[in-house]
Formats: sequence, structure tokens, C-alpha cells
Amino acid sequence: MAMKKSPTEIAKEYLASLRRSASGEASTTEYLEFWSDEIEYILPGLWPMAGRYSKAEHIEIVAPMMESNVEGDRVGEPDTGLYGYEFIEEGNKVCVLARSRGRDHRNLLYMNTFCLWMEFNDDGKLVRYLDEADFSSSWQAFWGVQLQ
Amino acid sequence: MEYPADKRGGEMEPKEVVTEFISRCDAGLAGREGGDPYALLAEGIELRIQGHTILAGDYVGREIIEKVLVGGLATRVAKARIELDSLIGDGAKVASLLRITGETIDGKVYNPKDDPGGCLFTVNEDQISQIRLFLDNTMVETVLYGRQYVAPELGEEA
Repeated sequence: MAMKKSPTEIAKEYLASLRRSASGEASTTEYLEFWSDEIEYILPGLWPMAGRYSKAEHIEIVAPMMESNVEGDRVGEPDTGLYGYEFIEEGNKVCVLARSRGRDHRNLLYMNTFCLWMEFNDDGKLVRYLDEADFSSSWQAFWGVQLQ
Repeated sequence: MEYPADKRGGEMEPKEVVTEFISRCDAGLAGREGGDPYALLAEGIELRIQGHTILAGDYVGREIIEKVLVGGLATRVAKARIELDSLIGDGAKVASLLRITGETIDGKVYNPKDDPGGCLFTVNEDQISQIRLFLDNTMVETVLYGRQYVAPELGEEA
């Protein structure tokens, strides 16, 4: 069975869902409706949130860390979140470049550039998802660490 | 320096060009015969490394990529591999997941978890005209350049 929507269409809907979660228009976990139960979620690198997670591990480990360190009481600002600007797709995969807007641990404006790699099953749910950005700046911005 | 181009009049699919380029890079890093990777780069190639590390920024032209980026990295890197995890193409645009691993001259392992990273290419007439590379910046800072992330002293942030 083929996907009913293209990977790009689903990715755009997913980013809109992430923005609703980040801006407080929806629950902070609404975006998980796009995840299959078999997803491999990859956050590369050596920073506190880095790892490879199942959906259950994301809910247990990553989501609370995001809510406390990344979102915190800053959830609720309009227009916060990820905005895709380039989509390269083939088959059931899409690579998305996106810019983000948020606030750091001092409530200062924070932005980053993301490369998202998404693979979907026939139901249009994410089965492999690489979430990559300049996590060196994220680590400093959200945890307050300094680079020496 | 002369860079012989592998011009074949648009005979190769963009994904083939990228696959061949990665293969040549990996062979070159391993000291194997694999063809000249620079020959697959357009003369005015634009390479951007995302982020805010010392490696981040724009490298325009094959000479700057070879002398500044690759030559600079060679002073820190003892061995490295570049392997293709996944590849998708949409016309001239190609997106890939690469597994870049290696070891520094002082024995630090780069990318010990074998994480994939994104790299986007634009290919025109069998040559790569644009590369956008997402290196893991926490690894670049700590493993390649020996820096550390430290908690601020109490009161330092005020």
C-alpha cells in the first residue's frame, strides 16, 4: 500500500504540529501522532540529549528533558518552532532543511538550522527520524554551559 | 594546480555522481586507488559547513577545499572514513546521510556511535556544484579541537 500523501506533505504537516506544540496551541506531545511505534529517533552527537531512542524512550527520556531544558516556561510564545524551507524527497523519504525560532535559558531569542531526515511507513508514520542541528549552540543556549 | 574533470556530458545521474564522490573520498582517506574526488567538483564549487565551529562557513572553489579544509583537517586527523548510509535524489538535488568516523592524531575517536549526519548536494552536468554538510558540532569541538563544555561558575551568568 502506497502512502496517501507525499513525504514532503507529511513533513510540512509534522512541522506545523511541532509549532503548535512549541507555541502552546496544542499539547506538548501532539507531534507524536506522526511517529510509528517502531520509530528510531536519532539525535546525534555528544550533548545531553544525544542518543537513539524508541518512541517509548523518547516519551520517557527526551520529551521531559525538552520540556524542562528546551521549552520550559517559554512554551506559549506565538510562532515558536521549526520552519522548513527546502525539501528533497524520493520514495518514502524526505530530507528537510529548516530554521528554528525559540528562546534560550535566559529567555533570549535563539535560532538554529536543522537537517531532518524522515522515513515513513506505508501509513505515513515516521519509522526513522534524524534530528540534526548545531547542538553545540543548543547545549550552550539551553543548559547554560560554556565552551572552553 | 590542475584538476582534471570527469566531464561525460551529463551521462551520470546526480545520485551516481554523489555516490562516486563519496566512494572516491573514502578511498582517498584510506590510501586506496579510487579516482580523484576533486575531479567530480565543479570549478566554482560552494561547500558550506553548518554551525559555529572553526570548521563552519563557506569554502568556495576546489583549491580552498583542498588547501584550507582538507589540508587543515589533515593536521588533526590521523585516519577517517566516509560511508554512505542513505541517498535520495530529486532532480539536481541529492540528499544523503553520511557516516563520518575517524581518529585524531592524539588518539581521540570521532563519532564513536557511528551516527549518521546530513549532507546535501547539487549536481550539474556530472559535477557537484554545491555541498551543504552538517557535521556534529559537539564532536568537532571536543574531539577534533579538545575543547570542553563546562558549567558556569555560580553568579557568572548574572
